[in-house]
Amino acid sequence: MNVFNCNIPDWFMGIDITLELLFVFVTLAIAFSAYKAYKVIKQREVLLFGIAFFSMAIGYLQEVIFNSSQMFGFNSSDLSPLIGPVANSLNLGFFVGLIHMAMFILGLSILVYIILPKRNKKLFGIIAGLAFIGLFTSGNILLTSFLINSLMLFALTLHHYQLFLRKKTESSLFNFIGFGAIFLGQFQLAMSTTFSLLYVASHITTLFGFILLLLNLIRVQKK
Amino acid sequence: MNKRRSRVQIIFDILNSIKIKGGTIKPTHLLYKSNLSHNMMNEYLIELIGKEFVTEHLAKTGKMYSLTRKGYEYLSEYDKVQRFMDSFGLDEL
Repeated sequence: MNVFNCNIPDWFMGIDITLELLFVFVTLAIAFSAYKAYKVIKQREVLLFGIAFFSMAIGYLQEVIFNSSQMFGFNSSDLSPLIGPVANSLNLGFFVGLIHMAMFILGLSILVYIILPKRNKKLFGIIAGLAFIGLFTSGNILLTSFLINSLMLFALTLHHYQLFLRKKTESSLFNFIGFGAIFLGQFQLAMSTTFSLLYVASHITTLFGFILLLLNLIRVQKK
Repeated sequence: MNKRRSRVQIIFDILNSIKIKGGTIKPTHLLYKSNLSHNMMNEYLIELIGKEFVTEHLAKTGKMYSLTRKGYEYLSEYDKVQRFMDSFGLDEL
Protein backbone atom coordinates (compact mmCIF):
# COMPACT_ATOMS: atom_id res chain seq x y z
CA MET A 1 0.00 0.00 0.00
CA ASN A 2 1.44 3.32 -0.99
CA VAL A 3 0.20 6.14 1.18
CA PHE A 4 1.78 8.84 -0.96
CA ASN A 5 0.25 9.16 -4.35
CA CYS A 6 0.66 12.88 -5.03
CA ASN A 7 1.31 13.82 -8.62
CA ILE A 8 4.81 15.27 -8.49
CA PRO A 9 6.14 16.87 -11.69
CA ASP A 10 9.55 15.37 -12.60
CA TRP A 11 11.25 18.79 -12.77
CA PHE A 12 10.13 19.60 -9.23
CA MET A 13 11.63 16.47 -7.66
CA GLY A 14 14.52 17.54 -5.49
CA ILE A 15 13.25 21.11 -5.23
CA ASP A 16 10.40 19.82 -3.07
CA ILE A 17 12.89 18.07 -0.79
CA THR A 18 14.93 21.30 -0.42
CA LEU A 19 11.79 23.23 0.49
CA GLU A 20 10.72 20.55 2.97
CA LEU A 21 14.16 20.78 4.59
CA LEU A 22 13.52 24.52 4.99
CA PHE A 23 10.19 23.70 6.67
CA VAL A 24 12.08 21.37 9.04
CA PHE A 25 14.51 24.20 9.82
CA VAL A 26 11.79 26.80 10.52
CA THR A 27 9.63 24.49 12.64
CA LEU A 28 12.69 23.32 14.62
CA ALA A 29 13.81 26.93 15.17
CA ILE A 30 10.37 27.87 16.52
CA ALA A 31 10.28 24.73 18.71
CA PHE A 32 13.75 25.46 20.11
CA SER A 33 12.87 29.12 20.85
CA ALA A 34 9.65 28.03 22.58
CA TYR A 35 11.60 25.57 24.73
CA LYS A 36 14.08 28.32 25.67
CA ALA A 37 11.17 30.59 26.59
CA TYR A 38 9.59 27.81 28.64
CA LYS A 39 12.81 27.40 30.63
CA VAL A 40 12.53 31.07 31.68
CA ILE A 41 8.80 31.39 32.38
CA LYS A 42 7.70 27.77 32.98
CA GLN A 43 4.36 28.31 31.27
CA ARG A 44 2.73 25.07 30.10
CA GLU A 45 1.24 26.58 26.91
CA VAL A 46 4.67 27.71 25.75
CA LEU A 47 6.05 24.18 26.23
CA LEU A 48 3.08 22.72 24.33
CA PHE A 49 3.63 25.27 21.54
CA GLY A 50 7.24 24.05 21.29
CA ILE A 51 6.23 20.37 21.33
CA ALA A 52 3.68 21.09 18.57
CA PHE A 53 6.30 22.63 16.27
CA PHE A 54 8.82 19.89 17.15
CA SER A 55 6.23 17.30 16.21
CA MET A 56 5.64 19.08 12.89
CA ALA A 57 9.41 19.21 12.29
CA ILE A 58 9.62 15.42 12.75
CA GLY A 59 6.67 15.10 10.37
CA TYR A 60 8.43 17.17 7.69
CA LEU A 61 11.65 15.22 8.26
CA GLN A 62 9.78 11.99 7.54
CA GLU A 63 8.48 13.58 4.34
CA VAL A 64 12.05 14.47 3.34
CA ILE A 65 13.17 10.87 4.02
CA PHE A 66 10.25 9.46 2.06
CA ASN A 67 10.63 11.79 -0.93
CA SER A 68 14.42 11.28 -0.99
CA SER A 69 13.96 7.51 -1.02
CA GLN A 70 11.55 7.91 -3.95
CA MET A 71 13.90 10.22 -5.83
CA PHE A 72 17.07 8.20 -5.37
CA GLY A 73 15.26 4.90 -5.88
CA PHE A 74 16.13 3.74 -2.38
CA ASN A 75 14.54 0.45 -1.51
CA SER A 76 14.10 -1.01 1.93
CA SER A 77 15.90 -4.14 0.72
CA ASP A 78 19.02 -1.95 0.28
CA LEU A 79 19.21 -1.51 4.05
CA SER A 80 21.10 -4.69 4.83
CA PRO A 81 20.65 -8.37 4.09
CA LEU A 82 19.46 -8.78 7.65
CA ILE A 83 16.87 -6.01 8.11
CA GLY A 84 16.06 -5.43 4.42
CA PRO A 85 13.53 -8.29 4.13
CA VAL A 86 11.95 -7.29 7.46
CA ALA A 87 11.65 -3.67 6.31
CA ASN A 88 10.20 -4.88 3.04
CA SER A 89 7.61 -7.05 4.71
CA LEU A 90 6.58 -4.15 6.93
CA ASN A 91 6.48 -1.81 3.92
CA LEU A 92 8.88 0.83 5.20
CA GLY A 93 7.54 3.56 2.90
CA PHE A 94 4.06 3.07 4.29
CA PHE A 95 5.30 3.46 7.86
CA VAL A 96 7.45 6.50 7.11
CA GLY A 97 4.40 8.09 5.46
CA LEU A 98 2.22 7.14 8.38
CA ILE A 99 4.66 8.65 10.92
CA HIS A 100 4.75 11.84 8.85
CA MET A 101 0.96 12.16 8.91
CA ALA A 102 0.65 11.19 12.58
CA MET A 103 3.32 13.66 13.75
CA PHE A 104 1.83 16.47 11.69
CA ILE A 105 -1.68 15.78 12.99
CA LEU A 106 -0.36 15.54 16.56
CA GLY A 107 1.42 18.90 16.21
CA LEU A 108 -1.66 20.62 14.80
CA SER A 109 -3.91 19.02 17.45
CA ILE A 110 -1.70 20.55 20.16
CA LEU A 111 -1.79 23.97 18.46
CA VAL A 112 -5.59 23.83 18.17
CA TYR A 113 -5.84 22.68 21.80
CA ILE A 114 -3.82 25.61 23.17
CA ILE A 115 -5.98 28.21 21.42
CA LEU A 116 -9.13 26.91 23.14
CA PRO A 117 -10.54 29.24 25.81
CA LYS A 118 -10.71 26.37 28.33
CA ARG A 119 -8.18 23.55 28.32
CA ASN A 120 -8.15 20.14 29.93
CA LYS A 121 -6.81 16.68 29.09
CA LYS A 122 -10.25 15.42 28.00
CA LEU A 123 -10.58 18.15 25.38
CA PHE A 124 -7.15 17.37 23.98
CA GLY A 125 -8.11 13.68 23.90
CA ILE A 126 -11.23 14.53 21.93
CA ILE A 127 -9.39 16.71 19.36
CA ALA A 128 -6.48 14.31 18.81
CA GLY A 129 -8.74 11.25 19.11
CA LEU A 130 -11.17 12.47 16.45
CA ALA A 131 -8.30 13.40 14.13
CA PHE A 132 -6.59 10.01 14.50
CA ILE A 133 -9.82 8.00 14.26
CA GLY A 134 -10.66 9.94 11.10
CA LEU A 135 -7.20 9.18 9.72
CA PHE A 136 -7.03 5.48 10.51
CA THR A 137 -10.59 4.60 9.51
CA SER A 138 -10.36 6.36 6.17
CA GLY A 139 -10.24 4.55 2.85
CA ASN A 140 -7.96 7.23 1.44
CA ILE A 141 -5.53 7.91 4.26
CA LEU A 142 -3.47 10.50 2.38
CA LEU A 143 -6.39 12.66 1.29
CA THR A 144 -7.97 12.38 4.76
CA SER A 145 -4.75 13.52 6.46
CA PHE A 146 -4.53 16.57 4.20
CA LEU A 147 -8.18 17.41 4.87
CA ILE A 148 -7.82 16.99 8.66
CA ASN A 149 -4.69 19.19 8.57
CA SER A 150 -6.54 21.76 6.45
CA LEU A 151 -9.42 21.84 8.92
CA MET A 152 -7.13 22.40 11.91
CA LEU A 153 -5.04 24.97 10.04
CA PHE A 154 -8.25 26.78 9.13
CA ALA A 155 -9.13 26.98 12.84
CA LEU A 156 -5.64 28.34 13.59
CA THR A 157 -5.92 30.90 10.77
CA LEU A 158 -9.28 32.04 12.11
CA HIS A 159 -7.81 32.37 15.62
CA HIS A 160 -4.93 34.49 14.33
CA TYR A 161 -7.33 36.59 12.27
CA GLN A 162 -9.25 37.37 15.47
CA LEU A 163 -5.99 38.22 17.23
CA PHE A 164 -5.08 40.50 14.34
CA LEU A 165 -8.42 42.31 14.57
CA ARG A 166 -7.84 42.77 18.32
CA LYS A 167 -4.23 43.87 18.05
CA LYS A 168 -3.22 45.23 14.66
CA THR A 169 0.53 44.66 14.79
CA GLU A 170 2.95 43.44 12.13
CA SER A 171 3.53 40.18 13.97
CA SER A 172 -0.17 39.40 14.35
CA LEU A 173 -0.60 40.11 10.62
CA PHE A 174 2.34 37.80 9.79
CA ASN A 175 0.83 35.05 11.98
CA PHE A 176 -2.56 35.41 10.33
CA ILE A 177 -1.20 35.39 6.76
CA GLY A 178 1.46 32.79 7.67
CA PHE A 179 -1.00 30.25 9.08
CA GLY A 180 -3.42 31.15 6.27
CA ALA A 181 -0.75 30.32 3.67
CA ILE A 182 0.13 27.02 5.38
CA PHE A 183 -3.60 26.18 5.44
CA LEU A 184 -3.90 26.99 1.73
CA GLY A 185 -0.78 24.91 1.08
CA GLN A 186 -2.31 21.86 2.79
CA PHE A 187 -5.54 22.34 0.86
CA GLN A 188 -3.61 22.52 -2.41
CA LEU A 189 -1.73 19.37 -1.37
CA ALA A 190 -5.07 17.60 -0.91
CA MET A 191 -6.02 18.57 -4.46
CA SER A 192 -2.58 17.65 -5.85
CA THR A 193 -3.56 13.99 -6.01
CA THR A 194 -5.28 14.93 -9.27
CA PHE A 195 -3.48 18.12 -10.42
CA SER A 196 0.31 17.86 -10.33
CA LEU A 197 0.92 21.62 -10.53
CA LEU A 198 -0.95 22.04 -7.25
CA TYR A 199 1.83 20.04 -5.57
CA VAL A 200 4.26 22.76 -6.71
CA ALA A 201 1.85 25.55 -5.71
CA SER A 202 1.36 23.93 -2.31
CA HIS A 203 5.09 23.94 -1.57
CA ILE A 204 5.48 27.57 -2.66
CA THR A 205 2.45 28.72 -0.65
CA THR A 206 3.67 26.81 2.42
CA LEU A 207 7.15 28.30 1.98
CA PHE A 208 5.62 31.78 1.98
CA GLY A 209 3.76 30.96 5.20
CA PHE A 210 6.84 29.65 6.96
CA ILE A 211 8.93 32.64 5.81
CA LEU A 212 6.43 34.91 7.57
CA LEU A 213 6.65 32.84 10.78
CA LEU A 214 10.44 32.87 10.48
CA LEU A 215 10.42 36.68 10.09
CA ASN A 216 8.44 36.87 13.34
CA LEU A 217 11.05 34.73 15.04
CA ILE A 218 13.97 36.74 13.63
CA ARG A 219 12.39 39.95 14.89
CA VAL A 220 12.21 38.51 18.41
CA GLN A 221 15.91 37.63 18.36
CA LYS A 222 17.00 40.93 16.76
CA LYS A 223 15.44 43.48 19.13
CA MET B 1 -10.93 41.19 33.91
CA ASN B 2 -7.33 41.08 35.14
CA LYS B 3 -5.67 37.68 35.22
CA ARG B 4 -4.03 36.56 38.47
CA ARG B 5 -0.30 37.19 38.23
CA SER B 6 1.85 34.11 37.88
CA ARG B 7 4.88 33.51 40.13
CA VAL B 8 7.18 34.34 37.25
CA GLN B 9 5.24 37.52 36.49
CA ILE B 10 5.60 38.62 40.14
CA ILE B 11 9.35 37.97 40.03
CA PHE B 12 9.55 40.03 36.85
CA ASP B 13 7.53 42.85 38.46
CA ILE B 14 9.86 42.93 41.50
CA LEU B 15 13.04 42.93 39.41
CA ASN B 16 11.62 45.47 37.00
CA SER B 17 10.59 47.77 39.86
CA ILE B 18 14.19 47.77 41.08
CA LYS B 19 15.47 48.38 37.55
CA ILE B 20 13.11 51.33 37.02
CA LYS B 21 14.41 52.88 40.24
CA GLY B 22 17.93 52.81 38.82
CA GLY B 23 18.95 49.40 40.17
CA THR B 24 18.49 50.12 43.89
CA ILE B 25 15.26 50.47 45.83
CA LYS B 26 13.97 50.92 49.40
CA PRO B 27 11.78 48.09 50.80
CA THR B 28 8.79 50.45 51.22
CA HIS B 29 8.98 51.52 47.56
CA LEU B 30 9.33 47.94 46.45
CA LEU B 31 6.31 46.92 48.52
CA TYR B 32 4.26 49.63 46.86
CA LYS B 33 5.53 48.95 43.34
CA SER B 34 5.27 45.15 43.47
CA ASN B 35 1.70 45.25 44.79
CA LEU B 36 2.25 42.41 47.27
CA SER B 37 1.65 41.88 50.97
CA HIS B 38 4.61 42.41 53.29
CA ASN B 39 4.97 38.67 53.98
CA MET B 40 4.71 37.70 50.33
CA MET B 41 7.28 40.28 49.33
CA ASN B 42 9.71 39.00 51.93
CA GLU B 43 9.24 35.43 50.70
CA TYR B 44 9.99 36.49 47.14
CA LEU B 45 12.98 38.56 48.22
CA ILE B 46 14.49 35.62 50.12
CA GLU B 47 14.15 33.56 46.94
CA LEU B 48 15.61 36.29 44.72
CA ILE B 49 18.55 36.85 47.07
CA GLY B 50 19.12 33.08 47.13
CA LYS B 51 19.15 33.03 43.32
CA GLU B 52 21.58 35.99 43.36
CA PHE B 53 19.21 38.20 41.35
CA VAL B 54 19.05 40.74 44.17
CA THR B 55 21.37 41.78 47.02
CA GLU B 56 20.38 43.32 50.34
CA HIS B 57 22.60 45.98 51.92
CA LEU B 58 22.48 48.74 54.49
CA ALA B 59 22.75 52.35 53.36
CA LYS B 60 22.59 55.59 55.38
CA THR B 61 18.83 55.72 54.79
CA GLY B 62 18.30 52.10 55.85
CA LYS B 63 17.88 48.74 54.18
CA MET B 64 18.16 48.73 50.36
CA TYR B 65 17.77 46.11 47.62
CA SER B 66 19.91 46.17 44.48
CA LEU B 67 19.69 44.31 41.22
CA THR B 68 22.71 42.13 40.44
CA ARG B 69 24.14 41.42 36.99
CA LYS B 70 22.34 38.07 37.08
CA GLY B 71 19.12 39.94 37.83
CA TYR B 72 19.62 42.25 34.86
CA GLU B 73 20.36 39.22 32.65
CA TYR B 74 17.16 37.52 33.79
CA LEU B 75 15.17 40.67 33.00
CA SER B 76 16.68 40.79 29.53
CA GLU B 77 15.84 37.08 28.96
CA TYR B 78 12.33 37.66 30.24
CA ASP B 79 11.92 40.59 27.88
CA LYS B 80 12.94 38.37 24.96
CA VAL B 81 10.46 35.71 26.07
CA GLN B 82 7.67 38.31 26.28
CA ARG B 83 8.48 39.41 22.73
CA PHE B 84 8.42 35.76 21.57
CA MET B 85 5.03 35.23 23.20
CA ASP B 86 3.72 38.48 21.78
CA SER B 87 5.04 37.60 18.31
CA PHE B 88 3.23 34.26 18.19
CA GLY B 89 0.07 35.38 19.98
CA LEU B 90 0.88 33.27 23.06
CA ASP B 91 0.39 36.23 25.39
CA GLU B 92 -3.31 36.23 24.45
CA LEU B 93 -3.91 32.64 25.61
